[in-house]
Amino acid sequence: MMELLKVEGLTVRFGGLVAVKNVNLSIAAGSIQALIGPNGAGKSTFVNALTGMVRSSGGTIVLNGKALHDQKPHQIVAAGICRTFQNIRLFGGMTVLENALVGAHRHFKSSMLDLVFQSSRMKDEEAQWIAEAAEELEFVGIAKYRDTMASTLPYGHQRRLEIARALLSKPELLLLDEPMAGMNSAEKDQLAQIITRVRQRGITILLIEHDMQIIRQLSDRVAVLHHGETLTEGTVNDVFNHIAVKEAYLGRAA
Amino acid sequence: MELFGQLLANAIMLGAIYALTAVAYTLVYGVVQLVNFAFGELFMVGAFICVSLMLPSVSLFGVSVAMPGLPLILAAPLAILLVGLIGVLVERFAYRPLRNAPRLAPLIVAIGLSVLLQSLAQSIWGAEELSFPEFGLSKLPPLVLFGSIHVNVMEIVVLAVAIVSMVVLTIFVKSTRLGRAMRATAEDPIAARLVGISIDRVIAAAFLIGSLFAALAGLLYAQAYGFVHPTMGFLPGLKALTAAVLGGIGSIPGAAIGGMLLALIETFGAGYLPNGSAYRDAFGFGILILLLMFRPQGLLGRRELNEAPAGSLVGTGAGKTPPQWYQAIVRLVESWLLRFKPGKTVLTLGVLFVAVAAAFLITSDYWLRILIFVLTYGLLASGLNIVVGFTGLLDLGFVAFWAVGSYLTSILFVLVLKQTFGIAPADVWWLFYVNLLIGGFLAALLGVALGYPTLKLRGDYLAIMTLGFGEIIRITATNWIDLTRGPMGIRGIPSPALFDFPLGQPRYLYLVGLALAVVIFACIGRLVRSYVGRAWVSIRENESAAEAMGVDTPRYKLFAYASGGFVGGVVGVFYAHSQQYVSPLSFTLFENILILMLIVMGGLGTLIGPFIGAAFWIIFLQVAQDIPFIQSHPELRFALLGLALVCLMIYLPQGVAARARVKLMVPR
Repeated sequence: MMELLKVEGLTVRFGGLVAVKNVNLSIAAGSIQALIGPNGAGKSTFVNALTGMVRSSGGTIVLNGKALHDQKPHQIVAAGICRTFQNIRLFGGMTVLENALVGAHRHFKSSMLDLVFQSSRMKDEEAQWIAEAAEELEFVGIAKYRDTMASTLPYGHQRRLEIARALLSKPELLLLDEPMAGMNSAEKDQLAQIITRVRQRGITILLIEHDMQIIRQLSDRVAVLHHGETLTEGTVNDVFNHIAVKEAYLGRAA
Repeated sequence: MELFGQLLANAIMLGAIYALTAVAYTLVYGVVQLVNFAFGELFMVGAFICVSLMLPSVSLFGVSVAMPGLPLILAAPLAILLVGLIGVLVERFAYRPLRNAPRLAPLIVAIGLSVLLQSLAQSIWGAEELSFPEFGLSKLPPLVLFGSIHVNVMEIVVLAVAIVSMVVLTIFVKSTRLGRAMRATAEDPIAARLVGISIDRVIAAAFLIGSLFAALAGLLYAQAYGFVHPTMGFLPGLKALTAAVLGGIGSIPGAAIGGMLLALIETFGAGYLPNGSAYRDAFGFGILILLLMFRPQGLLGRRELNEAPAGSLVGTGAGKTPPQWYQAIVRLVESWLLRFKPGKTVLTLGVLFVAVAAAFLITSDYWLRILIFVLTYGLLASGLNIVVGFTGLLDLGFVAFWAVGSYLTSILFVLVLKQTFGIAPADVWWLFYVNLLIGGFLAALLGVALGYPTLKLRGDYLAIMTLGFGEIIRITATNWIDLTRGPMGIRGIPSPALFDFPLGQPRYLYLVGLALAVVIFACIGRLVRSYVGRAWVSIRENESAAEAMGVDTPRYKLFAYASGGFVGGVVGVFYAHSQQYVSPLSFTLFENILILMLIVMGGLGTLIGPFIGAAFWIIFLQVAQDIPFIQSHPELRFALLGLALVCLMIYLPQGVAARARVKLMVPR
C-alpha cells in the first residue's frame, strides 16, 4: 500500500473554539477513504484546512512526501488536491464548459503576449483543454449542456459539474464534500457509479457523506470525527461495529 | 492654548453632526448590511427643506413660490419628518425589490440615488448656495469661555440635541418592541422572520430613523455654517460613513465615538499641521483606508462585516421582468439583427467601416468632438469594466488612473519640456505615442499599488476604500500646486502630430481615438476570451470556489486593477492631448460614478456595453439640450441618469446589451 496523503496532528481553532483537534489520517493511493461524523463534528473544517481555505493552527499535511500546510489554496490545487463543495459553488454566470475550464486553470501556461497576439501556442493550449473539458463533461454525463448557463442547470447536474470541474485540475486526491446531499436514490446510484469510475482512473478519493448505504458501498476505509477528534478509523466493517460510533450517532443505549 | 481651546470647541460641534449622520449609516447597515450612500443627500435635502420653510418665498425651478416663513423650531421638525418620509419611500421602491439581489446591485442603486437627489436639488433650488436665515438663537452674541474661547449658543444647542437624540435612540433600540425587533434582525434576519418579526417593517423603520437623523444633522450643519448648497451633503456624508466605520459600523455608541474622534483628528490636523487645512478632507479618507486595512470592524464593532457578495449581476437572472414596452423593443431589434445574420467578422468589419466613414461623412466639428467624447468615455468605461464588470470588484477610484495619464503627459510636455527646457512640442511629436505607453504602465503600477491593500476586502468596504484612494489623489492634484498647477490646471498641451502632419483637427483626433479604441478593444477582448478572462469572471461569480479551483485570486485581482489602470492611463494621455487642457475638475468622484453608470447601462461584463452606454449617454446629453425645460435646468439630465440607474438595477441589471455576453474562450 502506497500512502498518498498523511495528516498528522491537524488542529484548527476559531478563537476559543477548537473545531478540529489533533486529527491524524492516512490515505492509501487509489483508495476511497470515507470521513463521517455527526453534524458539527468538524468534517467540513477538516476539508477546508486540507485545501488551504482555513488556516490550520497546528499539525502537518503531507501529500506524496510534499508538505502542504500553510500553503495557499491555489498551491494546494497545483500539488494535486481538488475539491467539491457541500453547498454547490458553481460560477452561475458562466456556461457549463467555461466552468469546467476554470477547473483546468492551473494547466494554462500561455503568456500575456501569447494571449494578445493569439499565438499558436495559446490556440493549441485552448483547443487541448476545451477537448479535455468536453471529455470530462461526457464522463459525468452532462455533455449536452455544455453551452448552458451553470445557474440554470438542474440540481443533480450541478453536482456532477462540480465533480467534472474538480477533475479537470487533474488531481491525485479528490475531496468530495457530501456529494449526495439533496439527491434522490436514483441520482445517488448514478453518482456512486461516477465515483467508482473516478477511482478506476487511479484517482484517490476522500468522501464525506452522511448516507451510510453509500459509505458501505463505496469506501475502503472509514474515519469517524466527533467533536473535532478522530473517534475511530478502520475498515468499513470495523467502524460500523464500533460501539462508540453508534453512540455518537444514536446516543448512548439505555 | 487659545487656538487649542477654539479648535476643541469647533471639533466637538462638528463631531456631534458627524455622529448624528453616522447613526443613520450604522442603523441601516446594522439591519440590512447596506451602505446607503444617499444619506449624504438626505442630509442636504433636510437642510434645504428647512431653509425653504423658514423663508417667506423661495425660487423652485426658477419660479418664485410663497413659503410660510416658519420659525426654526417649527420648520426643523417638519423638514425632518418630510425627509423621513423620503427615506421610507426610497427604501420601499428602490431597495426593497433588491433585497435578495447580489450586493453590487443595492450598492449601485445607492450611488444612483445620490446622483438623483443631488441633481434634483440642483434643478429645484438652483446651483447657487442659499444662506441660512437668521433666527432667534443665532442672533445672540457668542459666549466667551475661559476668557478667550468663543462658543455660539447654537453650538451648545447642537451638542445638546445630538446627545439627547442619541440617548433617546439608544433607549428605543434597547427597550421598545420595535427596537428589539431591529436588534434581532441585525443578529439573524432569517431567525427573526421565523419568530414572527416583520422584516419589512423593521427595515422601513431603520430607514425612517436613519433619514430623520441625517436630516437633523443636515440642518444643524447648515445653520452652523450659514448656508445650504446641493453638494453640501457629499463630504459630510462620506465623513459620517468614515465615522461609522471608525466606531464600528452597526454600533450606535460606536457612531458617536467615531464622529467625535474623526472631527477631532480633522480639526486638529487642519489647525496644527503645515498646510493642514488644504488636506483637511484627505485626513478622513486616510484614516478610513488605514482602518479598513487593519481593523475593518472599527473600534466597537464585533465581527468582520465584509463577507463575500453572493454572486454577480450578470447571467443570474437577477432583477424583475422588464416592462412590456422594453421587451417589445428588444424583440424588434433582435429580429432585425437576426434577419441580417451577420457573421462575427462581417459585423466587426461593418462597424469598423461605419466608424471610419463617419470621420469623412460628418462635416461638423461639433459632432466630431462629440464622437471623440463617446470614444474617450467608451474606452474609460471599458477599462473600468475589466475591474467591475468582469472581476466584480466595485471600484470608485478609477478616475485616478485617468488623471495619472493626463497629468503625466501634460507635466512632461508643458511644464518640463516647454517651460523648463524650451523644447517645442513639434520637435518631440513622437513623445505623445511613447507617453501613451508610459502613462498606461504608470497607471497600471498605481493600480497594483492601490489594489494591493484592498485585496482582503469585498463588497461595500472595497467600494469605500477605492473611493478614499480616488479622493486622496484628487485632493493631492488640487493642492500640490507646484506639480499640477492646482485648480488652474495646465493649458497649452500640444495636439498629437505624426511627423510634420498635425492631427489637431477634430477629424484626425477622432481617427486617432478610433485607432486607440480598436487596439484596446481587441486586447481586452483577447484577454477576456482566455483563461485570464475565465479567472476574472470566476472571481466575480464565486471567489472562494475560484480559489479552490486553483485560481490565484489576489494575483488575478491585481492583474484586473493593472489592466483597467493601464487602459485608464492610456486614455488619460489621449484625453489631455485632445482637450489640450487638464484640471482636477475632470477627475471627480462624479466622473467615476458616471463612467460606472455607462457600463451598467450598456452591460456589465460585456465588451461592447461600455461603448453603447457612452454613445447613449453623450448623445442624450446633446439631444436633451434642445428640450426647453431641460435647457433651463441642465442638471435634470443627471437626475434622469440617476433614476435610470436605479431602474436598470431593478429591472435590467444586465444592461441593454445583456445578450452580448462574451464567450470566455476563443470562438471557434
